[in-house]
Amino acid sequence: MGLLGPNGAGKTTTIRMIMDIIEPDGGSISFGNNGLGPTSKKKIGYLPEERGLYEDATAGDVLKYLGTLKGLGKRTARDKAQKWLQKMNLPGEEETKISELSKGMAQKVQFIAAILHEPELAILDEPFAGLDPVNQDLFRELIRDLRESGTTILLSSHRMNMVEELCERVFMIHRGKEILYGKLSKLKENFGKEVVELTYIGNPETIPNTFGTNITDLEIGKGRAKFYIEKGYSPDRFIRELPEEIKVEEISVRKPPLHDIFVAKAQGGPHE
Amino acid sequence: MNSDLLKVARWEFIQNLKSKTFLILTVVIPIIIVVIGFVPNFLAFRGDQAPVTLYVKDNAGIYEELKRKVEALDQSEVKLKLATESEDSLRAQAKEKEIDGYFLLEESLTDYQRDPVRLYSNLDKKEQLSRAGKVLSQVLTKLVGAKSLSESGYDPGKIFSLTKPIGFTPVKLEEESRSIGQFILPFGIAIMIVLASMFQGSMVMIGIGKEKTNRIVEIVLSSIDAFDMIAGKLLGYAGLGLAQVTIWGTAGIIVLTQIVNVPLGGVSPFQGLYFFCYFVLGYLMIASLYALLGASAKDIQSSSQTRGIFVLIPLIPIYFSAAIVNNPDALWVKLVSFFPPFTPTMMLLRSAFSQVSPWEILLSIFLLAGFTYLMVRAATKVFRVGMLMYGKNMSIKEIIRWARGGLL
Repeated sequence: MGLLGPNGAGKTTTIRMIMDIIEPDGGSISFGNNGLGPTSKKKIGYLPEERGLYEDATAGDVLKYLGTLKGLGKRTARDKAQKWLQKMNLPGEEETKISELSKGMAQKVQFIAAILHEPELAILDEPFAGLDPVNQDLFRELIRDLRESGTTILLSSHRMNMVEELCERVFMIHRGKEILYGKLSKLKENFGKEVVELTYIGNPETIPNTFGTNITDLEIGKGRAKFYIEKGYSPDRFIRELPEEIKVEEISVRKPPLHDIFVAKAQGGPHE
Repeated sequence: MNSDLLKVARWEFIQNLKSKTFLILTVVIPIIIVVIGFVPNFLAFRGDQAPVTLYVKDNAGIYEELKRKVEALDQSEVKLKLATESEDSLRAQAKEKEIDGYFLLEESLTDYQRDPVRLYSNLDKKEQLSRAGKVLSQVLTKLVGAKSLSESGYDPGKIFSLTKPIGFTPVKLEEESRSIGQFILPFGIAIMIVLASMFQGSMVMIGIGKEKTNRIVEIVLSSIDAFDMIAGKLLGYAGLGLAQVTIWGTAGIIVLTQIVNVPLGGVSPFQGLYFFCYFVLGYLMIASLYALLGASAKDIQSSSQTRGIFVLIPLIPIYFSAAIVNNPDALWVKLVSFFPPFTPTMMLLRSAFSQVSPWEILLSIFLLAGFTYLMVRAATKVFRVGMLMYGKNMSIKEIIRWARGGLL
């Protein structure tokens, strides 16, 4: 599930409350059929947005320690840490101090710490922040593997493409309140509009600015145009009303990207 | 005990034991303190130990006998040499400190029983000259006495053996059974609580402040309870404190028994147990105060600025140690020693200089343990609230409000 919201919406605060780092002023949080407690904490993995590890300790020691805090035995934690370091392209780094690792490497170690104990729920707060494209792909694949192996993932990220690729459901908050929740496909369905993108040949200045109430948010560029149409309407009217000198080369109608839904909901924009 | 708490304690103990800071605080700083504190005194003491060499202008003809008897004594205060030059020359040399000093012995030695022998010297070692004078006086008195007795027809050997001096040595009944160890150990532990809690306490504060700023705490708190984290941390540092004190204590005992030759004597298991309790609890209490400070400050720098006040707490009884030593059984001393922040140092000082009844020891340990537990609870609450306050120091009022919240 993707946890979305504009900056300051309360995503990290929500996560910190789930992780029992801060206490909620009201309400309750439950895990499975029980309230949050020491037992449930051991079943959850957490990658915080603000990264930090024990700088003077070695990667192996840190992973072993954090693994044992999650309930693993010392030997199991060590073996699993070794396996994960291999998988993350960090073989032989067990004895390297965290302070001597690059930022990306340290981030990998922190990711391992979050999932070493094979949690039932993994909460990942901005896992892609600060990663290069290669490592972003690596993390995306790892998250996908985790999902396939049965771990529930709560992913908080501003990278809408990643959320779209990895999440089945989305929960969006704004100023601490829920504004959107549901299956991603359903949300797109319910958004009520579709995106039309076309490429054309001709002078853009000859294209009129309005095409009736069913066509909104028209953006005209050189050789390209984009607009929204009410769901169920055909873009034919737009094409018919174009001047003769405009030749449409290609047209696509698709469901709106998550990015657009996010912007619309966050800004209370034109599509609400 | 909770296993999460022990895991944190173990981690903190091992990680810090391996750190350079621990090595410096445990080995280097005490060495510097010992060097600065003791070496000048030691050198001064050693300087005084060389015997003074005095020249004897002997007109009485007893130099050889005097010298032999002085050398026969087990003393290192004075050596004698026969002066062959004139008195004026001796005076001039003594004035210029070319010689340590000199004295004249006239023919009629019995005159000195009325008028003392004058020992001329220009040295500043007044104490040592006085000790040298006492040695010479003892030998000469016997020598002249023996001569006078012989001349009067008595047997000096018999007379001396019949008139041997009778001495008096004060023995305090209560202290008959107290060995030096029973005095040094509690006093030493009191001092070590102060030193160890000052060193490690600031490490606790820095450690907690650091976790707060680099956010490792989020990962730890997402796995275990906040109380276990803070209490585990404090316990880990208490372990470090114990390791530190063991190192210092062992070094101290070796110095006392092997180098200075002070017999320490035994300590009963009950004494050993309560020394240990006072140390661990006293240490945890001070460390929890530091933890509270670290948790409430926005960063390490600002917590370091206010830590002076906390350093003073275990030091206060040390300031009053003279008053406690003079009257360890005074009512005010007894009452104040039940006030938990002062309990460890006060009780240890009291037990160093007096007999403290077991009920007082047990009650004070109980109160101290309760107070320490509450302090850890308060530090936990302040820490959890402090986590939310990015880049902001808590005011004293806020600390008290949140700490109280942690206790209810």
